[in-house]
Amino acid sequence: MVTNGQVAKLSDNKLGTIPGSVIAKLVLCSGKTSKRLERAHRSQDSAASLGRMASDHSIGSSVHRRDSREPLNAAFAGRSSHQLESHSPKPVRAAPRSMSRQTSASAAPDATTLPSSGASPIGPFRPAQAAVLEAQHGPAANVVTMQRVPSAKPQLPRLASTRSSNAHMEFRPGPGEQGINSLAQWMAAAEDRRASTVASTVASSTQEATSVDSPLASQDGNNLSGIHHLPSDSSVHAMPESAPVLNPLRLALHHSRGSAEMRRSAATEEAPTSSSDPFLPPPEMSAQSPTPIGSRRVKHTLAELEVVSRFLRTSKIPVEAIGGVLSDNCQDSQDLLDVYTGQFDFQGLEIDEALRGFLEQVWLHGESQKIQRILAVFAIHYYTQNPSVFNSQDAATTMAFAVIMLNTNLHNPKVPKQDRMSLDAFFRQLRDVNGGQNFPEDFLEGVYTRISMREFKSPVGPSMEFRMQAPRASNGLMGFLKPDKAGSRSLAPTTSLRASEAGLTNRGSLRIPEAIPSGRAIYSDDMTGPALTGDSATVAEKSANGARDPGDAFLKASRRSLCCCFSGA
Amino acid sequence: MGNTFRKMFDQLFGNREMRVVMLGLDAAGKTTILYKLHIGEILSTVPTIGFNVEKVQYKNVLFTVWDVGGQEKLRPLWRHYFNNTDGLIYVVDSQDRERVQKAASEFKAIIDDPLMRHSAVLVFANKQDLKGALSTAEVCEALGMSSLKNRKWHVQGAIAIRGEGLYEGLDWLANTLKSMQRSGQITSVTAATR
Repeated sequence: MVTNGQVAKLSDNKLGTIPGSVIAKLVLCSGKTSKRLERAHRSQDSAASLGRMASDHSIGSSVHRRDSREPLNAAFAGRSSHQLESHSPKPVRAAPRSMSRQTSASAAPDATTLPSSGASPIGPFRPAQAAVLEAQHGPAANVVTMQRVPSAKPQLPRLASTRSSNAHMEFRPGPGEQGINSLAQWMAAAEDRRASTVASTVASSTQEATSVDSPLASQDGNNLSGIHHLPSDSSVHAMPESAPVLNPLRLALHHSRGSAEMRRSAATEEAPTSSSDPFLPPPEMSAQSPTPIGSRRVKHTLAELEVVSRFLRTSKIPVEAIGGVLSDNCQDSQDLLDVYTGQFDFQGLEIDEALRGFLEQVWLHGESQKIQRILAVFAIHYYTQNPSVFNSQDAATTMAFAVIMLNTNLHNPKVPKQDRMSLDAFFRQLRDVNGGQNFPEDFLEGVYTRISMREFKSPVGPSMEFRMQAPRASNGLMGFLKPDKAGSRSLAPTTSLRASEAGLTNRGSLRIPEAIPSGRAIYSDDMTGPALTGDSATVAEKSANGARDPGDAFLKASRRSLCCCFSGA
Repeated sequence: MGNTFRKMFDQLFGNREMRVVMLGLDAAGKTTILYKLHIGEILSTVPTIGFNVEKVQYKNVLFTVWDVGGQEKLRPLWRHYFNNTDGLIYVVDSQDRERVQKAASEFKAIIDDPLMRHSAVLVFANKQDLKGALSTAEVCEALGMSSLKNRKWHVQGAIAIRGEGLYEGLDWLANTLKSMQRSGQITSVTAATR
């Protein structure tokens, strides 16, 4: 179990930057710890303010990075020790998504020393990955091409397309690790400034308001106020004009943060309230945020989400849990999924190989909508990075789906032999899907052959519990903490969940006892139409006494694994 | 004596395999239903990445139930999902009044698919225990079941999380499919003939 001290430390070092709801699912699952952690989390100004602090501090700094990574670095490093750790230089790729910046030389491709976190309280950080990740911004940058530094481009190293898909999934180092020294300096300063967080918050809100009012100002090298804040980041303003692909998720992310008032209310909202859920949006905020995806509040900046993504990538949180969090149907998860996926390099990979590598990091739950959410975002990023492979983004989505379906079909032992898909059927299935045209046959054949030869596997064999899905969490992830109002569906009393515990020893398909009290229901027996009467429409009598609750199982399992994960640190 | 013969007959001819797809909007309860129907198997090996597929044996009928997404954009892929499908289980979240229209339009698109034209349709009006849930009759109406022609259909109220109503639904499906096949009716369409 986690002690109070550890909780405080965790909260101090890491969790402050993690979206509340993600903490809720990942960490707070564990009873008492949750309360303490929640308190600790709330009691201090969380990541947003740290990012703000950083930006506040950097005003007047000589280094101008038009990039939201700096607060990220600051938020990250400022919260942990300030060790600078040098590591082997990673070749830099200045992908089309390389961040534009106005720093002088910056984009020196053979980047050098990066700040990296020291010891992580949760999982050992792999410095290379962590640092490289810092330098990598994600696909938002693909819309910011106007200020790209062209000199970095020829240095593109191509990761060899080996069969080991892990090799593809390195984080990409971004260009321009210059400015690190000053970064380190103000990291320390940022630490000192923690006391004045609130003040700086207000200050940054004001700056933000100005820069939002005059978007072009942030492109001016002399105006430093817009650098470190997402809403006033140049990428936000550049997006509508220069975006080659409008990523709806990211748009949602950006647009929903345009308001400085929102940010201010996010800051004031930190005070614990007695009755309401601290993670639920105050009414005025949800009204303000014009998110195209949903009406839930978005309160996390891209920088914060990147910290979380990095945390997820480098910690020892099981891939099942990551998959569960990222595929959840709430705004935080979707934003996070977008940022997280953007950290993968799919360039030049065939879609199935890219997907294979990706799914080794994110366990794909079997529920169709979860698959859908993850694959849709994957396809967006794959298509953005490989625009020449498919005729349309929809084609990429469909193909990703077809790949997963083929994998299920060919390798799931429960699929009857006669249902296995042949190559012909695969062709037939994907007819006219590539933007109205057919995919090249050799491409499809390649995909088919690779999948039939080697099935998609997660590196870790998930326990049975992870195969099961959580029940609907009506408040997004928070549903895990609070039963929804309609009933206690989310947090049903814990029953014995393992099949073995429940005394179920059957293997294979279960023969259901036939003597079940039949309930009443309505149906049409024939084409003559239904004989529907009001009183016949009742719920059936209770039938089988199934004792298992998949939601509980998931909760328990993630609780277990997370407890291990944290107590081991 | 007759009973023995009957049993033998069943063993020889009674066991059938039916392919069933389960569809429905997000959080309608498909996965819960799938695992409620299929208790008891412990997966010791690394499960396949992909869609949930479960085998459920009930009344001599071996159902292979696929939990697949019904999203319209992926309709081309239905060609394979719906291929050789004998039955459709459509799950509706009865409490989700806002999305019941969406559920209805998706449902309509599914049953209008040529590959689905013969299959039996079982609708689970799930989450009947929740306050404000649509009654089975209301779900029936919302989905426009009465306008279905030449279809075998059944709307079953259910509380998937407690397993209530599920077997009744399967009961209907098994009996219907068996009787349809016995009387020589076609229940599935093969895509290859398209």
